[in-house]
Amino acid sequence: MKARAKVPKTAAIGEVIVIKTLLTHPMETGHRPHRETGELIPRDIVTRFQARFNDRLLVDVDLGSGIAANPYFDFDFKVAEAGVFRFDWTDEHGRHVMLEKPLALT
Amino acid sequence: MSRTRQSAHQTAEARDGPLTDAAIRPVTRRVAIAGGAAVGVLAVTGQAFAHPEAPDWADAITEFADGAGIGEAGPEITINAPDLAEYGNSVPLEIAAEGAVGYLIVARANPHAVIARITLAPELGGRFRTRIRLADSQPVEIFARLANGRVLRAGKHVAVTVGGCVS
Repeated sequence: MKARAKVPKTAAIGEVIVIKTLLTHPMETGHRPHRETGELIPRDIVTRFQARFNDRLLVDVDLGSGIAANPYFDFDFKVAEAGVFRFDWTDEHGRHVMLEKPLALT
Repeated sequence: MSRTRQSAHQTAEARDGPLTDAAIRPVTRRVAIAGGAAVGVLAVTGQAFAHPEAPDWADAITEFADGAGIGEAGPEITINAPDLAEYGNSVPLEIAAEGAVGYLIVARANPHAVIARITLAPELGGRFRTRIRLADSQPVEIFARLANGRVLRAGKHVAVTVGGCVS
């Protein structure tokens, strides 16, 4: 559950920036047998991702097991003010990772 | 198990001659099934997964549409995904529909067909990219909810050489 987000440190008002996020996570589907024992590896997936800017919700994703391991998302954001991006990942066991990235105006 | 493997190998050898790669592959599968360990082999080939539960996509689509009729999308939805993915365990997928506020991604041939439900703030512009798993070659279906309330459907067929261990 190591989180990364790539966000420009500065941008101009009106500029469209790309936000890229990645969480290190196996996204175990629960149907994959162990290579040696043949027993199924228990399901373990991230079920929720949220991105916010200055507490405003931008992106909200319900993930299924069809999202690849190390869930990756990217999307565009049009800059209107300085502030802080906040990214939250939650898995089905309630584990949670939060990451914040500031954005300054040029 | 080991006895079964032995006899199956002998049978194959007797019928097909020396054990070439081509000869080994079907034998391995038969042996595994005989030994009750079919799951491992099927996971390797990435095919023939049994659906563990009733299809979940129908309910998900109904819920996503939320009473709106679903129209077939023309150029409103752009889907960027490879025509052919060598491995199904990580297939890049980019969706863009002008002003979309929500997407539903469905791959019906996956054991769990509903890949993701996505809600977007209207000001984001509607472009979204991720990486998905595909158990087999199939159309990836995208349902998009636009800011004006319309719900549109689009699809892109992705051929997969080695299915992702999705399930």
